Amino acid sequence: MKVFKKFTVTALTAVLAVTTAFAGIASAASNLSGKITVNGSTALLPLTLQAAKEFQKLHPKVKIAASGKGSVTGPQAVKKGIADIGACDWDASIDVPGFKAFDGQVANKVAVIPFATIVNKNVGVDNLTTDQLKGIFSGKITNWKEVGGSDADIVVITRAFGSGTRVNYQAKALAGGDIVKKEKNYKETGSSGDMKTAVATTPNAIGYIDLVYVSGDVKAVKFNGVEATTDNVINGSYKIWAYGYFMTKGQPTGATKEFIDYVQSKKFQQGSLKKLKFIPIASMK
Amino acid sequence: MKNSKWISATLASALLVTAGAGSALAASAGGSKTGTVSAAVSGPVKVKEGTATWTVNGTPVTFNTIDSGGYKLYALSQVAGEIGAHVAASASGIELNDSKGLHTLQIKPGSKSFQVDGEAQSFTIAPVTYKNSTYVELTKLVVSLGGELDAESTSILSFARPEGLFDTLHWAADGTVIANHSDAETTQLLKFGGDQGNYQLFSTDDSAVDFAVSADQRWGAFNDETGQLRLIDLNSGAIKALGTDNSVKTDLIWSKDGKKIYFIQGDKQEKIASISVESGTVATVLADKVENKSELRVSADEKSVAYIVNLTGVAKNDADSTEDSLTVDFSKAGEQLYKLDLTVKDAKPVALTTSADNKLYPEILADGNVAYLSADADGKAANTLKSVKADGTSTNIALDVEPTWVSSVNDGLVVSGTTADGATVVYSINASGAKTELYRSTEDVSEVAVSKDGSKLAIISDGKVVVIKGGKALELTK
Repeated sequence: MKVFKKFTVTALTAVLAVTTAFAGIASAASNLSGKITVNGSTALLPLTLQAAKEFQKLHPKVKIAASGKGSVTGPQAVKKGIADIGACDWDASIDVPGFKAFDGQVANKVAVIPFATIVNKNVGVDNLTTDQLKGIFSGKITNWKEVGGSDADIVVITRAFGSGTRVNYQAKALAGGDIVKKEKNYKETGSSGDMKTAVATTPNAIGYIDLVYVSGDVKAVKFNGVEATTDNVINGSYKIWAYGYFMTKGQPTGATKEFIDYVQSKKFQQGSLKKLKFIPIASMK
Repeated sequence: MKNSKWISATLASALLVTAGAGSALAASAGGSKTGTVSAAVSGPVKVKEGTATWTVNGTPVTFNTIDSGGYKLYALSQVAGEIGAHVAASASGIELNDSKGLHTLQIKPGSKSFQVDGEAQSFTIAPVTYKNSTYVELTKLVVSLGGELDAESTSILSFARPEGLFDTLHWAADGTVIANHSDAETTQLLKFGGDQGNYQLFSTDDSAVDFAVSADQRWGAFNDETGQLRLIDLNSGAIKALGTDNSVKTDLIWSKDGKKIYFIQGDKQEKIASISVESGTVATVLADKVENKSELRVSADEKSVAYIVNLTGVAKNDADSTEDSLTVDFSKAGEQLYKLDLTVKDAKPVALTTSADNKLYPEILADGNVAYLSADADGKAANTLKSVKADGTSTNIALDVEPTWVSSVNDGLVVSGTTADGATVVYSINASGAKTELYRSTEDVSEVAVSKDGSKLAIISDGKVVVIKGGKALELTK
C-alpha cells in the first residue's frame, strides 16, 4: 500500500479565486463511442433521457437519440432494425393480452412503473373497486352516481391501442377486462401528457396514467381502498404497477450494453430514477 | 495490509522473554542496550533494547522497542499514547480503548491470546514485560485499536481510512470533503477532514447522495423521491424541508447570493422555476412547453440562464400501431443549447446551436458567451471546448489536452482533460484566456472538486477520495 501517490501537483494559485464551489464528473478519457437509438414508451422517455445525459458525461462520444410513441413501437422498432432499444412497459419477449411475443428479443428490466386512476377534480369519488372500474371502462357504468358520485355522465379517456400504460391498466386495474369504445363520452389519447391534459380539462372525466404524471390538476383515486403511492407499491398493497423494459435484439452488446448497465446501476436506480418518481427494480421483493 | 518486514526479520542476538504481568502503565524503559527480566516461568533472560521511528498521523515518533525471538516488540503505553488510546490495568491484565470508544482490547503479558471487542485473537509473540513496561507486536496493536499501519512507508494512522469505492465529491465551507461510499451496502455519505483517518458518517439519507452546493458551501439542496426539496447543513448534516412543492425537479442550481435555487421542473422537464430559500415560494421562470430541458446554468448576476434541450426523434405510425407503418426519424435528435434573458419580460429563449455534436457541461462566461464541451457524435474527432456567442457563432478554446470535464469558476473555467500520453491535467482558464495548470496525474481521475477559497483540490481517483495537500496527493480512503 502506498499512502502517498506520486502525483505532480502544480501549486494552486490565486487564479483559482473560487467563490462558487464546483464539483463534477470527469469522463477520464472514455474511448467508448457509437450511436444508441431508443424508441417506444412515452412513460419511460424522461428516464431514458436523464440516463442518457448522465451516461454521456462518462462517455462523451456516445450519441443517444430517443423518441416516444407508445410501448408497442419499442419492440417493433427493434424488430425492424430502426432502434437499438425498444422502451416498453411490458415484457415484449412473451405473449401478453393483445400482443404476441417479439421472438428473439431480450427484456432488460429498468424500472418499476406505478399507474394511477385519475379523475377530473370536479369528480367527488375518491375510491373505485376493480368491478367498478371494469364497469366504467366497459361502458356498463355510465353515470358517476352509480359509483357513489353525483349525477353526471362519466367521460372515459383512454390511451390508444399499443400503449403500455393501457396494457398494464387493463391487466392490473381491470383484471383483464376490456376497454370498450363508445359513441360518446369517450376519447383516446396518444401520450401520457395528452391523457393528463384531457382528464384535467374535461369535467367528469376518468383516465389512467403513470403515477409520476399525477399532479395537482387531476385527482388520483384509491384502488380497492388503497392509495396509489410508491410505498404501497413496494409493500405490495397497491397492485397497479409494472416493470419497464429496454427490449433488445438478443443480448445487448457494446455501447448499448454499457448504457443499459448504467440504467440498471445502483447509482442511477437509487439516484435520478427515484427523483423522476420511478421505483428502483431492486425495491420489489 | 502488509506486515512490517522487520517485524518478521530474524535477529540472532534476540532472546525471547515471556514474563508475567508487570506494570503496564509504567514509563517505557530506556538507557542500557541490554538488560534482564525476571520471567515468572523462564527465569532471568537478556533482552536487546532499541528504537524505531515511524510517523504517526504524519508526525515522526521514535518508539522504544525490544527484540524478542526475531520480532521487534513495541512499548505498549508509548504506542497507545501516540495514537490516542487509553490504557488501564484490569483484573486480567491490560485494557486499552481507542479514543472514539469504538474498540476495546484485553491483553495479558505472557499470553499470545488477547481479545478485541470481546472476540479472541492471537499474537505471534506474546507480550513481554521488561523494566516495568509491556512490549507488544505493533501491527496487531494498532490495527486492533482501529488504526492503520503501513510498514513500507513506516506510517501509522490513529484511525484507519475507510475502504471501498467513492463518488459524488463535494467540499464544505468548514474545509471538509463529503463523498458517497458507493459500494457500501446502505447509503453512507462520509465527511473527511484534511487528515487521513479523520472522517465521520455524515448522512445515510438515500436522497442526499448528491446535492447542489450553495456558493458559500454551507448548504446542499436536493429533492427526494416525492419531489420535496430539502436542504442539508454541510456542517452538521441536519436536513430540513424547503417549501411544499412536490413536482419533479432536476438540475438544481443555487443563485450566487444563496437566496434562490433554480431548477428544471415537471414530469417532462418542461419548465424552469426557482424557489425562495427564505419563503419556500416557487416562481416560474420559463414555461414554453418545450420538453426535456436539462443542464441549467444561471449567470452570476442572475440576468440570464442557459440550458440544454434534448430534442427527441420523431416516430410515426398509423392509428392501429401497425409495425409496417412505423417510422422513426432520429436525424434531428440530440442536444441544443438555449439561453434566456431574464431581464426582459416574456423574453423568448434563443437557440445558440443547431449542430449535431454532443453538448456537455454548458457554462455562462463573464462576457455572456456560453462555453460547452463538444464531443463528436461519431466518436472520430477529439472533444473540444467551445465558446458560443448569442448570435450562434462559436470558437474553440485552445487547449493542449482533450477536455473531458468543464466547470465555471468565478469569471473563468476549470477544465479537466487528458494528454496524448493519457495523463490527466486540470487547468484553470481566466477571463482573458490565460491557462494555469493546477494538477497533473497519471492516475485515472473521475471527479474533481475545488474548495470555496480555491486553495484546495479534491479528486476521485480510481474510486478513492484524494486531496491535494502540501504538494502531495493524500489518499483519504483506501
